[in-house]
Amino acid sequence: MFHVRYVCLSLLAVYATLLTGCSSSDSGPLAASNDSGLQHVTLMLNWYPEAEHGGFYAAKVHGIFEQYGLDVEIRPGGPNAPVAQELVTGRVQFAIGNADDVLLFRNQDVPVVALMAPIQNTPRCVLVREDSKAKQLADLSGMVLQANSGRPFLNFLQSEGLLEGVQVVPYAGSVAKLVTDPNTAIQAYSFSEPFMAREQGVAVRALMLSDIGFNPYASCLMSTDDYIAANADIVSRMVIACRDGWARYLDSPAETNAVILAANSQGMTAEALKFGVDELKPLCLPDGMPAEEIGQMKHERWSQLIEQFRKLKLITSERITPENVFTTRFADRSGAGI
Amino acid sequence: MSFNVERLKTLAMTSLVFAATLIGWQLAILCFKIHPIILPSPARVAAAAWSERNSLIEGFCITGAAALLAVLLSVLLGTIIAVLFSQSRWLRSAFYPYVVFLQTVPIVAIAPLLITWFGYGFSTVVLVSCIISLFPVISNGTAGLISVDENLKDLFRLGDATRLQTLTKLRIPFAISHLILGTRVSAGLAVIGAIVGEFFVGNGATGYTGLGTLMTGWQNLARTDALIAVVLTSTLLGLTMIGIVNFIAGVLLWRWTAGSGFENE
Repeated sequence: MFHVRYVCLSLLAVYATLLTGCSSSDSGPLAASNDSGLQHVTLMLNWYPEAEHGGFYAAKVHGIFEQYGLDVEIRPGGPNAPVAQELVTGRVQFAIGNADDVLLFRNQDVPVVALMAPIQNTPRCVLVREDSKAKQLADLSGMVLQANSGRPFLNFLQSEGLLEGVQVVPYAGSVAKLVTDPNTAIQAYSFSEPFMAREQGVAVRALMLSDIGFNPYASCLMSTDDYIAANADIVSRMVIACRDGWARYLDSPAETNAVILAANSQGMTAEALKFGVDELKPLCLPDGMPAEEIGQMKHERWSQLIEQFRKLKLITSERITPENVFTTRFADRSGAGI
Repeated sequence: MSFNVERLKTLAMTSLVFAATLIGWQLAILCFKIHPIILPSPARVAAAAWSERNSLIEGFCITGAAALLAVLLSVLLGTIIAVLFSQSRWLRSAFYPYVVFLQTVPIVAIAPLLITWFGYGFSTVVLVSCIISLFPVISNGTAGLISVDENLKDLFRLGDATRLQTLTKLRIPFAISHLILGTRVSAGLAVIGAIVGEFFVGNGATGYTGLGTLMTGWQNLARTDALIAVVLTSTLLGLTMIGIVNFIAGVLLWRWTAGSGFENE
């Protein structure tokens, strides 16, 4: 029975290592200032740099972050960018996510909070060719829809009965199939894929999810409960700077787009970015919303989204309320210290 | 009597290691204050598995069916190819590069291509799985068929055995244990192959829902606990597959495998 003894001994050794590890942990990342006296923070994106992140880049490009005493490092994301994981470990202080992600993360006990929402109406759409029989989202039956699994808009479509007779397959990552096949529909963002399809010489129609009542804010600036509680001043300056950045981006995007183009190695083009901003403008400032309100969030919008997600069983935690998933208290300029 | 005691000891050791793993896992989480989205506790994973039991069982059956079919195809095709290879060195050297292709093919890169050729469906998942699981059968089968003891070959030659007789009475019986070894490796790989296929074929919304589909879906929903539950389910599927192969080998081929180290030590 030698081996039993060895196994037990090595297990004890492993546990002992774990226990000693306990005492030496907990040197959490504290707020650090750099030489120039600016506060260094990291902002992680949920995707490759695109027009949907324009305002955040604009705040950096035009020195707005600096003006508010911040040195912001923007870290690009990509597919499955571990935004929640990076926030919860404190490796990044801020991140970008859509309102649906905020709720999904909260449901996993990741204490994220939305601080501002530059894109009021979701760009989420289903893209079909103009010669397709689908004039609206209710006409998809009989078609093949390419969409990532596990995205809430699909659950919503399904619960509305709009996926009956639709063959849903994984998103292939490009407009290729849509271009060649009028019976294919793809998931899309209205400021991006329609341009790519038109580039290929195909006229397309974007069927907006917001038209049928699914409308989470997009590109929200997020942080965590803990970070916000300990760094209210930094958070406040960050929120104001991002709002100014977005106002600037929608107004004069050229300089920022050049920076985004350089930061994106996924085949982005200057024309696509220009198209992106033009399409984003009405989504960021819909129906005569004044430019100084950019980034605002409304209680009833969050509460409606929470309601919808509960019904779709995407969130189960009772603790999720509008009060703990978003805050507008940092949007007030008087608190920004400048 | 001694057999039972040995069995009990083995069982005790297995349970001990299992319990220790769970305790270590839980301890690591408590000690390092690991957030459940990074590493959920065993209890949390178990709870997620329970609440998603229907999806997991359905996924287990669908992915299992695809993997099982792929292994059957692999054994059938692989054995035929191995027999052909054993008959001619020319054939072997001419076709071996294509066999190596099977082993080294970056399946993730060609899966989308297979879908444009064969469509979104169960058969494409089986095909992807088969591509991955075919190689070990060919490779081990061929090795078994051609590595027959020279003395035995001489014996057959002395008895004026025909080529066919040598194949069926000597080479194939000799190769059985190699084939079974290859099939065991292939059974594990088939599960991986089926899951990779499902990454490209399945979408939980409507239609195909295998374990691979659940994985991508739950990853997108940031459900780490459910993700680990489905990973463990696919491990269970792999073990089941290998168990089936061992069982078949033990029951149907006991005459050949009794001494080949598959049953007990």
